[in-house]
Amino acid sequence: MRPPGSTRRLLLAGIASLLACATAAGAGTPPVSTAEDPLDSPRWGDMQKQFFDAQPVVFDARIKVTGPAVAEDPLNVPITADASALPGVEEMIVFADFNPIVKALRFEPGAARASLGFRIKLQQSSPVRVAARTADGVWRVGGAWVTTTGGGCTLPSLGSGSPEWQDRLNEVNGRLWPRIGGGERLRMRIIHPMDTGLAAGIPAFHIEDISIADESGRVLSRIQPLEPVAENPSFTLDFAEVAPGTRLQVSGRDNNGNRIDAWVTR
Amino acid sequence: MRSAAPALPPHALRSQAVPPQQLARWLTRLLAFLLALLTLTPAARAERFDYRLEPRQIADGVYVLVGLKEDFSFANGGNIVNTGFIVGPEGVIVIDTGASRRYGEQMRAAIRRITDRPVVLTLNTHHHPDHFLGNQAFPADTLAALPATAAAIRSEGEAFNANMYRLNGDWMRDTEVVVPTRTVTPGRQRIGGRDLELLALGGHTVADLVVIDHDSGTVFASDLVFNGRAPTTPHADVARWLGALDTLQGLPARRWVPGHGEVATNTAALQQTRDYLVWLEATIRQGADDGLDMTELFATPIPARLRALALVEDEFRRSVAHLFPAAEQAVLEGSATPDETADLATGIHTRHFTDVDFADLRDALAEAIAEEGISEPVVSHFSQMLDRTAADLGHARGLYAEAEILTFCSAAVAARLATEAREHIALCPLSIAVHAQAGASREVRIAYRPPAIDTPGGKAARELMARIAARAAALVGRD
Repeated sequence: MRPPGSTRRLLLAGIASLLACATAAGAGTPPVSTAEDPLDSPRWGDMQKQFFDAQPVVFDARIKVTGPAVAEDPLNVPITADASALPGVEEMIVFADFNPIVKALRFEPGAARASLGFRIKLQQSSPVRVAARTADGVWRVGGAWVTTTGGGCTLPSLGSGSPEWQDRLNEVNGRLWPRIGGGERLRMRIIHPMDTGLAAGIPAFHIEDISIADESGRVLSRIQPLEPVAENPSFTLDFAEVAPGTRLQVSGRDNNGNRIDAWVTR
Repeated sequence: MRSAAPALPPHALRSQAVPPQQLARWLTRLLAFLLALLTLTPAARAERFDYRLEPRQIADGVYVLVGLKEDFSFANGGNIVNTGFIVGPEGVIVIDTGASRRYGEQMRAAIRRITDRPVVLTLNTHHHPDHFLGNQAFPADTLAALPATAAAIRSEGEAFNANMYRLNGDWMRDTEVVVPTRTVTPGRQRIGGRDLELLALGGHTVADLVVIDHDSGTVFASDLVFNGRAPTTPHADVARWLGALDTLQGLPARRWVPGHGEVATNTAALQQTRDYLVWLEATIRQGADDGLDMTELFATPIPARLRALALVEDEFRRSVAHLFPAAEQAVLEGSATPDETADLATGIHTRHFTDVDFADLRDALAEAIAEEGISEPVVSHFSQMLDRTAADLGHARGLYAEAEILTFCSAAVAARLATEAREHIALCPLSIAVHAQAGASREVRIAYRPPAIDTPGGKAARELMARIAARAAALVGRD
């Protein structure tokens, strides 16, 4: 419950910058103030108000957003949001300045590496930004432009439009892979149309909560997708500490209350 | 400018709604026009959108217009494609019409500079936009394509056209989709007084038409062959494409006209296209098997031998976007057998076991064969034979720690194969090898090459071998 106030915000941001500069000395990528958007987007001011009003926020090149410079299929743009270079990431959000629905998802890494692979829909060329809140309460923002002109011979998929999802709604297809250096990688795909609500006559219908728990029921990590996440969402997460051969439970629900519940193994 | 880029209508984000394509197209044309006004240099505008098409004669009566090894752009106006024409005693056969109305018109004018004979047949080799958007310039009753190509132009042509306006700007002005109404019949035939053969293949797209001019030994290979430029895969079925390349490889051709890149007088371009596709397919499948995310696969280094291909980095990433989702889905849904890998080039399937006893795996294979109701396999002691002959033949000893080949014959499969064709006797018996690496005797592999024929009998043989390999893996506790 931080009182809003630009002086306090600037001060906090300034302190955060100084601290980060000190810790990142030699890394060559100190966080910078938000006066100048490195992605030069006219929407940055609005984004800052919408997501970080009254909270300290800095740009930080240690947050890596990996995706295609040109989206071959604008309805399935693969993005990896990696804030694992920051210590103590408690929460991450992903948004695209120029999407009609700006925010794409929220991720609480918990026991997972602070890095998430997923796919989003992009309405038009836009910065895709990742903001990570660290334990000190500071939001650190990284991003990349994705252009959506696509290839000359490729058409965006208009979604499968197949009735398949009605039989397989919230079905989870997933596997675990052992990681070099220990731990397990989880890759999964969940059958869901992820309707945006922007098409006439089709209300928003999307997965809104996914929890990943270990065999004892302890929640390891949490993903809260929103409408811009691509149809049949797929996610990639890495867990450094889970035991080899373990099972993970994936559970959650969509905004109509339909349950997701599955176990994933190697 | 960036925010003015393509406008998918909001409801394109949802499947059931039909996008108002007319409006979208109108908007994108307007945008393209404005962008073109802003970005064209005065010099470029002064050229009046001249592609400077110069037909090159490569054989008696055979002409090619070689495009740039680039992607579509405002600078090249879409002239990235090879088109061609053959002048016969009774008329001209046109092979592909280019990326725009302007290209088609300028191509037609270039043909007229060479001959006054009429165009009797205008072919679209496949449904990609750089091969048919010049159709307006040619007599409608000469436009012809394979049925699946015409259907794909009908369903996807408008969206391609809108996209081409975005990519090529005002070069596209007044370009409209014209769907070919004539259907071509594959086979050898006289057209325009010329001895031609049309092959209906596929793999680059749903239907790819190859034109052979027997009079000159020229093969217009369509986009089944790229030369010096990375192949594109938005509608590719890679396995089918490789089969089409096999067919082309057997043709007695003197020269090859690829869909993109230089004309060739040998089959090096076919091998290069194959090499790239085999690597691409294996890289994507391996990535899915290894649990990589798509963004990680983007970073795969291109092998040195393929790095000289124009646009290879861009095309690889595009191809990952096209092909990875299906590979990933197969792995996640368990329909793939990630423990087993198959090499497309050699057809060899392998399974790798770590910390397994060679004899245990060999016995497991024999057990799996027995469980299929097949009589006991003949065992060839391969490593022992090689070790015996090493001194006399001068090759290395100890190529394997151990290696044996189990040969067997399933009466049911053999009967199916022989019923299909007596020559299928050459495919029997079947064999599966098991070998342990020298110096790592508990690293054991199964290797086998199933019959590659595409018949029910061939399929039964492939399934039988995959079943035996999987059952053996289960018996040693590695399923």
